[in-house]
Amino acid sequence: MTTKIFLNSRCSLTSVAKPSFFNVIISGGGLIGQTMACALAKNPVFKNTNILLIESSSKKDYAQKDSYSNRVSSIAPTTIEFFEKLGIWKNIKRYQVMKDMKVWGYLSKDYINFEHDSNNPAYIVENDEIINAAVMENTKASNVKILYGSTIKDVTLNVGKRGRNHQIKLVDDSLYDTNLLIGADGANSFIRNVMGSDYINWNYKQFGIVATVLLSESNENNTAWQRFLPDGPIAILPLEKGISSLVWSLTESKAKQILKLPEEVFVDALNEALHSEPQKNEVAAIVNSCSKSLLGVFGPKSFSQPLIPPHIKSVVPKSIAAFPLSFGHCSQYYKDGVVLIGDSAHKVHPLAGQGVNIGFRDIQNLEAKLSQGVSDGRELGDAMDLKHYETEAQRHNIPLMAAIDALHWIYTSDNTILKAFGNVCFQFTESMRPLKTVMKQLAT
Amino acid sequence: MFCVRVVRSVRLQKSRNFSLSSSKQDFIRSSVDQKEIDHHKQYADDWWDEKNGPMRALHSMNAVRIPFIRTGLINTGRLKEDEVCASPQYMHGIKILDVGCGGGIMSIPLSRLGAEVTGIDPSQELIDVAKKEVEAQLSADSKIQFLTTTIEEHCSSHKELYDAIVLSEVIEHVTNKEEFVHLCVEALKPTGSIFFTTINRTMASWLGAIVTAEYIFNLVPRGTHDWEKFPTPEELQKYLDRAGCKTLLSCGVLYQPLLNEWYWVENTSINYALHAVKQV
Repeated sequence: MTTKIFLNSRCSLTSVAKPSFFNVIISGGGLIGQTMACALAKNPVFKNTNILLIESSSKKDYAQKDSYSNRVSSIAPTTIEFFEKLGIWKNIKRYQVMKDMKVWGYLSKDYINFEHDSNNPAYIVENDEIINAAVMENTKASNVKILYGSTIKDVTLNVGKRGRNHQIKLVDDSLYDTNLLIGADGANSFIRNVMGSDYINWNYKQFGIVATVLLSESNENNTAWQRFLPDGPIAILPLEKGISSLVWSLTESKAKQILKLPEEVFVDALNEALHSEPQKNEVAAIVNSCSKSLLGVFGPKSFSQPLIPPHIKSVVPKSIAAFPLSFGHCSQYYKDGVVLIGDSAHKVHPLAGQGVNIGFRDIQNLEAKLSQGVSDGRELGDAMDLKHYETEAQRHNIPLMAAIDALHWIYTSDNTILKAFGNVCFQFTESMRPLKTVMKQLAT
Repeated sequence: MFCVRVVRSVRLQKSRNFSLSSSKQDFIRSSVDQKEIDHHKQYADDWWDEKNGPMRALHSMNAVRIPFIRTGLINTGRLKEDEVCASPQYMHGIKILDVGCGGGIMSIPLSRLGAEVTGIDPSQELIDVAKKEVEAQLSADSKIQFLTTTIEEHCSSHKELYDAIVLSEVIEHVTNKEEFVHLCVEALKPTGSIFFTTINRTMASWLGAIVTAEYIFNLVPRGTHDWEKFPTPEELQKYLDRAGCKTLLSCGVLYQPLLNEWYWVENTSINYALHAVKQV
């Protein structure tokens, strides 16, 4: 209400206008920002908390198109549970159940099969579907205000007498005061720069090519496929019967070549990547046979089922896009009432499909810690609660991010020994239940 | 734990007043030397520096003592568990007396939870600090008041008024504990709760609070603490029994000075919290 009055009178009073106050300001209205706002709005502990979400893109009326968006996410079972709690899941109309995921390499056809519990499968959902589902809930919430088409120009930290009173200036020079500023503004986070904390990052010198593809097979299509190739992994994620989504990581130069190909040739290259015969590699062959006999002693599960990846029929016109891949991690997730969630704090290689799930985990973690703080009589966003958020998040994220990064280096390495090791990992992981369970737990 | 000792050096003087009749109070007050007052002033300025101030341990202690009060009020049925989850002001309508409130480190969060809080402390300077913080932190409609007074004065005109009385890090500085407990209980409604946090009188607390803090690390001026005044949970329970209160729970708390965090532990040999209920 006060905001409206303020906005109307702003033209004549720009220099003397009193800033509007919101208890929480979230920068970024993507998957993470919208879900964060929803998580706060749905918790009765925050019913007196006013939330402002600032999104740079303009407001679009979402209408599901017949064609799929090329930006999809693999949503872990724990995230689904969280979506159900927030009322987001019921708004998601289009998704595909992912019952299992088959992962293999390029030196043999041994593969790992990650099966999901049939009661709690993972889902492949378009990012826009999730954002829209969260927006629907946020629009209903009385304490959430979404400001579209606006960007933060300047942040002044600790303007008040007591700490944690921040002032935000938007590009149109309007001013907002807040006690808690949440940065959900992605890998190139402005809020992270304002905080001035150390950010470790490197470029993988790879591109991720995404596209929607049509398959020759007409089965139910509930399996995700991923093959680790020397240039980077290729993943085919199910969208519906006969339609899948592609995420293909390639070196910069190869990606540029591939993007220039006509669509039919692009499809041939895709099929070659999925179906090419295992490369001959003597070291790998020796290690392979050794490990097989070693695993034989422990009574391994044999790879009885042959691996038959899907065959790509065609690519949906104009669905091809590419983006650079990098790694980034912020050493501090919070500082004096400013806190980072999602890609603004950490960015991983998409090879494990975990980036967004780590972000959703951040949201649940931050919401729980803030809620605990308010219930214990602390001010919203007290340093103690943000510290607890950071500790828990980093304890989970850092090992997972290190593992994902290690996978990338192992599978793109030129070193024969590493190659052989990477290859034998598929056998070991598949044969050893505990190892597989650990990997699965880490990923969910 | 070590930082709490610093607090106690301030409270030592102030808390003694509680156990003396009002006729002697002026005498005691006039005996406070200038050095002590300057000390006071110094603490008053940094009272609300939660990160680095001398009271940081008391600030972080809220993370255990406020849930302790909440759980206690749920156990006695004064609070409903679903109310706690349904509203940030779940203590709405509950009258709490914070005895020896100092600069309001615990009173203010309790007020934020909706409670009607009265904080009393004999130190005018600390009450001023508390009042200033109320303006800075709480909304104008908060039901909170701070009074420069002693328990003797206060309970004489506020009998059977409060749903809960909190004595956090106070009782260990009082000489005549039994009389002090008795006075506090008078201000409590029947079935009301009384909450303590204090230090036990054991070998461990002697090593931790006196030897380590005062003699090895010099964190606290020597002679600040009188180990013999620390009450054991059994003694406290005895005083409460005689004042007509039933002890429901006593539980150990442990301070980790490096992280500045408090944890619940089974062992009550150093710091502990105790909850008792006034019988009808």
